[in-house]
Amino acid sequence: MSEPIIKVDNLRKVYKLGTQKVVALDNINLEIYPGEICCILGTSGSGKSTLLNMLAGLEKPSRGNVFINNSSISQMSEKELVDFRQKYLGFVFQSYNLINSMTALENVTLPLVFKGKNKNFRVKAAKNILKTVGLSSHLNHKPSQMSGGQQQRVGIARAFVSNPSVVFADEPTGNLDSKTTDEIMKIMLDVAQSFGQTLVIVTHDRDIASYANRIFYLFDGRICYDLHVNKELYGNREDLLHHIQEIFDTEKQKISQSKENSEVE
Amino acid sequence: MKIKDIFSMALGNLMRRKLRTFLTVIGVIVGAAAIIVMISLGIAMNKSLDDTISEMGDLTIIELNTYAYTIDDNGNYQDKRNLLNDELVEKIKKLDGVVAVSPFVSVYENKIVANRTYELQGQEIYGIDAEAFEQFGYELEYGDFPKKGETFLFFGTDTYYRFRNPDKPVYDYFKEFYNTDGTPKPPKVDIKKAKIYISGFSWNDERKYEFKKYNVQKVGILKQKENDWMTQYSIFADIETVNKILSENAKANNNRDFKPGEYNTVKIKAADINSAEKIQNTLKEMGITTYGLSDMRESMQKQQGTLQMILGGIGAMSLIVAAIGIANTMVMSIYERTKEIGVMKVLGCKLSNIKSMFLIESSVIGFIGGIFGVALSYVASFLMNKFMNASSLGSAGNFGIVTESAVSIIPWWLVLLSVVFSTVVGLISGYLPSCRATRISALEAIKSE
Ligand SMILES: Nc1ncnc2c1ncn2[C@@H]1O[C@H](COP(=O)(O)OP(=O)(O)OP(=O)(O)O)[C@@H](O)[C@H]1O
Ligand SMILES: [Mg+2]
Repeated sequence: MSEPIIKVDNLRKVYKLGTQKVVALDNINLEIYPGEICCILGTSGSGKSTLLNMLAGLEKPSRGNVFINNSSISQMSEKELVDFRQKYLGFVFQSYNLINSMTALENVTLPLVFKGKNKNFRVKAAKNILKTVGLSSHLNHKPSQMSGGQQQRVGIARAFVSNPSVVFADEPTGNLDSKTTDEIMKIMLDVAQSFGQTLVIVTHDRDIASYANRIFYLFDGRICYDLHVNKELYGNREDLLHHIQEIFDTEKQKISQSKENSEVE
Repeated sequence: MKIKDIFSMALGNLMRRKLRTFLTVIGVIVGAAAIIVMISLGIAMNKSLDDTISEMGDLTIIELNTYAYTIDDNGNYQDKRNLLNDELVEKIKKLDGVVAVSPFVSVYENKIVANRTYELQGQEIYGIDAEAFEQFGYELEYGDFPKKGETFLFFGTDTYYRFRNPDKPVYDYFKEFYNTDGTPKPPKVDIKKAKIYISGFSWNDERKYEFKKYNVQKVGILKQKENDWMTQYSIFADIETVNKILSENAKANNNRDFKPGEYNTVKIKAADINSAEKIQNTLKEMGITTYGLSDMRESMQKQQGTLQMILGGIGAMSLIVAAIGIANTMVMSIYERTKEIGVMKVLGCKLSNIKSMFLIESSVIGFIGGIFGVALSYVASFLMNKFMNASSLGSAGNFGIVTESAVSIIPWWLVLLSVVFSTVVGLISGYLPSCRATRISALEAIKSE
C-alpha cells in the first residue's frame, strides 16, 4: 500500500471551561490513504467536528500530531496553515458558507482567485465543475436565488475546483432532505473518485456512512471501530447498513460492559 | 492572489455598501477640503505679503545707515550710530552671499553742464561704486555699464528733460518743461551727443563759488524700474567724482564734520533672500544695525504664522475626524463580514491578501475623498476669491498697504500633496482594522450560523 495521506498520532483535545475540563478527543490514532472515502460517524457530542477541525488544521490539538502529506500541520503557524489549505485542502460546510454577494460562478472561482490563477483559467475550471454538479444553468445566480441543494452543489464545486488532495465535509447534507441528500452524496463521491481525491465526511447518519469505504465510529471522543468496507461483500446498501448496525450494537454493549466492570471493581 | 483581483474584490466590497462608503467619503472630502482651503489661505497670505513688500523694494538689498534706530527688548526705540567706512565695506565684500557693496553718497550742490550752454542745477547726484552699479540691478536704457575706475553719469528717466539755459529767465517752470496737456516737452539737449561735465559749487556770503570741472567718460539713461523711484528722479555718478565735489564743498564751507572715507549710507546686494538674512545676522553680530525689507517681512510673517497655525489646526482637526470615520467604517465592515473573512481564510486566502484588501478599501476611500476634496476646495477657493477682500485677512492690511491679491491660492503641489495625504490617512486609518481582520478565527466563522 502507498503512504497514508493523513496520519494522526496519539491525538488528544481537552477544552477547559473555567475549572472544568472536557476531554473532547482522546488517544486518536488513524491513517487514511489517498483516494479513500472516509466517514467519521458518531452521535452528537462524540467529538466528530472536533476531530475534523483538527485534521484540517483549523484547531490545535492539546497533544499529538496530525500529518498530511507528511507535513505536521499541528506545528504550523496560522500563515503556513492558510498556505497549506490553499494548496492541498478543500472544504464543504453544513451551512454552505457561500459568499452572498457573489454569483455561483464567482463563488466557485474563489479558491482559484486566492491561488492567483488568471481569469480565463478560473472561469473555465469553474464552469467545468459546475457542469459536473449539474448547475450549468445557474452560473449567475446568487446564493439567495438558489435552493439549499443547489447551494450545496455550489459548495461542492468550490471545494473541488482547485483539485485539492483532501476534501473535508462536516455534515454536508445536514440541512437537506433525504432525496437531496442522496443526490449530493452521489455527486461528491463521483467527483472525488473521478479525480482520486480523498474525502473525509463527518456525519451522525448511518445512511450516509454507507456511501463510504472507510468508517470511523467515534464514541465519547475515542475511535472505537475502524471499519474497512469491502463493497463487494455486500449485495446492496441495505446489507451494509445492517452490518454497520450490528457492529455498533456489539461495540456499544462491549463499552457499557467494560464500564460496568470497572464500576464493579 | 493577483493584485488586480485584490483590487477588484476591495472595490466590490466598497460598492456593496454604497451609502456607507459614500458617507465616509464625504467625511474625507470635507476634511481634505478643509485642510486644502486652510493651507491655501496661508499661501495667499504669504504671497500677498511678499507682493506688498516687493512693491516697496528689493528684498535682497540691505541698507546700512550711520544713524540707525533699534528696538530694545522692551519695545523702546534706541538711537545708535554705525561707523560706515571703507574698512567696513571691504569687510562686507568678503562675506558669503554678498554680490556687491557700495557706499551711497549724495551731493546737491552741483551743476551738470551740457554743450556749455545748458545746465541742470541742484539735482541730487548719487555716487556709487562703478562696479557695483550693474550688480545692484540697475539697467540702462541708453549707454554702457562703467568699468572700474571709469567716470560716468547716468540720468534717471525724468531728469534730463530739465536741462535749460540759465541765462534765459523762467516765468513758469511748468510751461518751460511741459506741454499744456501734461506731456513733457522734448529735452533741449540731446545728452547722447552732448559734451557733458559736472562741477560743484557753493553759496557763501551771497557769493557763488564754482569749482573744478569734471568730465565724464560715460553718459547714459537709466531704465525705469517700477518700484524704484531713484531710477526716475535721481542721477548716478561714480563715487570718486562725487566724493571730490563733497570734499571741495566741505573745504569751502569750513565743514569739519566731513570725513573722507566715511559714509552715511552703504548698500549691500545679496545673492538671494536667504543670504540677505544671513548677512544681516552676521552684521548684527558685528554690532552694525541694518535695515532691510526682509526684517519687515520676517516680523510680518511671524504675525501671520500664528494665524496660519490656527487655520491649519482647524483643517487638521476635520481630517482627523474623517480618519476616525474611515476607521469606524472599516471596523463596521469587518464586523459585518466576519463570517465571510473566516470562510475566505478556510478556503486559503492568504493573511497578507486579506490585509491588503482592507488597506486598499480604506485607501480608496481616502483617495476618492482626496480627489473630490480638491474639487470642493477649488470651488471654495473660487468663491472666497470672488467675494472676500484680501486685506481682511493677514497682516499686510494692517500696514496700511492694500494690494490686489487672492484670498486663497491652491498651487499644483498642494493638489498632489493633499491627494497623496488623504490616501495615506485612509491607509493608516485602515491599518488597525485590517490587522483585526487577519486575526478573525476561521473556526469561529464557520461554526457560527
Ligand atoms: N469550543 C469548545 N469549547 C468547549 N467545549 C467544546 C468546544 N467545542 C466542542 N466542545 C465539546 O467537545 C465535545 C465534542 O464536540 P463536537 O462539536 O466535536 O461534537 P460533534 O460530534 O460534532 O456533535 P454534533 O453531531 O452535535 O455536531 C462536546 O462535548 C462539546 O461540548
Ligand atoms: Mg458537529
